Amino acid sequence: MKTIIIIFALFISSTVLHAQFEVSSEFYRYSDDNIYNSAFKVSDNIYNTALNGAYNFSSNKNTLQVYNQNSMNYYQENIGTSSFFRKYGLADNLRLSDESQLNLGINYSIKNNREVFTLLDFTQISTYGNMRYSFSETDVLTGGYIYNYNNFNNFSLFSNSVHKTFLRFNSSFETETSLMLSCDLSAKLYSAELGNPASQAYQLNLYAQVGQSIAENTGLSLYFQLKSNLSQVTRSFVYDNTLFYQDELFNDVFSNEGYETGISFTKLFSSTLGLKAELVYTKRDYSMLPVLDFDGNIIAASRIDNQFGFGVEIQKDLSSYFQSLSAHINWNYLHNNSNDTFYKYDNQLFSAGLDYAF
Amino acid sequence: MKIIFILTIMLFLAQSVKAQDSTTVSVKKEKISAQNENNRDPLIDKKMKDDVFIDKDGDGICDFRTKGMSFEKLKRRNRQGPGDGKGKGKGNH
Repeated sequence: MKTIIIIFALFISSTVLHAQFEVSSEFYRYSDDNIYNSAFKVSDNIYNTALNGAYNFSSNKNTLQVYNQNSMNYYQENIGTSSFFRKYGLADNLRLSDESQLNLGINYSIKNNREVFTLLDFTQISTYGNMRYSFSETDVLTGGYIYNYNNFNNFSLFSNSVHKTFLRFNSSFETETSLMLSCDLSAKLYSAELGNPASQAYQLNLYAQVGQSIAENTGLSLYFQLKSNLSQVTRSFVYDNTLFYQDELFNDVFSNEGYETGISFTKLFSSTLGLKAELVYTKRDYSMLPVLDFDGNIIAASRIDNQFGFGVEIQKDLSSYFQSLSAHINWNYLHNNSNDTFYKYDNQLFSAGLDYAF
Repeated sequence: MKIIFILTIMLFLAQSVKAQDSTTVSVKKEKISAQNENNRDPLIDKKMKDDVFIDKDGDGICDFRTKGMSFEKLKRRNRQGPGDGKGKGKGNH
């Protein structure tokens, strides 16, 4: 009898734990014909594995989540490019009323690379707070603040803090149309003072998206994003007689301005099978990045890119075969036209993978 | 004769019971209908709520019908930090 009680108690406790403890994993294989997105095409197969865990402390009005994410990108041929990524975080969701909720969070991320790429290792501390208010079932306003501290361990020159505030409005209409409007203002402050007064950059982003249902489980979406640098600054680094700009090492979002527009088509064939196709055009103006030829001579004052992208993704929910299992197949094509010959490139990326959660 | 009489009585009783049932059902329906005018059936309310078009991610598909399907996962995975090391940097090509 005692054994039965213990087994019953274990069963009950495991059921409770199952409700509070979440684990998910992913496995993807990418076939990328231009892994560095440059005129010098280098192709490789990349294997991405991820294991994420979260524990929820829930009450009627509050959910506190402790989570951990781990992922690895393994490059089959260019092993030195492989990297590890970890994130630890706390996220709190407080329901203030039926209409409003407050989200607060903090997380710490680490990216470690291999071989010469350890120069690109970084850590990040990120905190955020946002408030979501529902005027009605279909109209929601969200506003918030994000602070990121980006520390480049081997390039302290580039370490910076980013402050970002945003406001976003979502609305859906009886015509089966949805509207999303958002704006955000970001400021980047370099940590290391170099006696240069221009150590701060400000950027404004405006975003509008319209979605329209065109048939049962079929949707079209159109978006436009405008990115404008209110003030700009970038830093560079000389190594081995070569000048490296921050954007070329760390993909600095503050390095360019311009616009992006795209259209997407989404079709759900059933509750378990979906298709999405997307066409995107992006114009980027890198006003502080001079164009160099392969001998290092400046041939234009600033780099300008025009990029076309096309992608198709198919998702299949396989939970009928195995709990919370889903499969994804993706094909992306990029064509980047730049006045800098180094950045004139095409890129095709095939990926296939499985997601699993329990 | 006795048997026919008994069968007739039974048939009459059966019809009477059926008529009574119909009346009862009819009354019940009216009662439910009256109740619903004041306080709708929660199941009906839920169905109506599900039919409200809400599209949080702006893809043109009602979110109630896309539960479990998310095309944003891949995008999220590709946004892992401030830099990916692509560029002219030494060793990158």
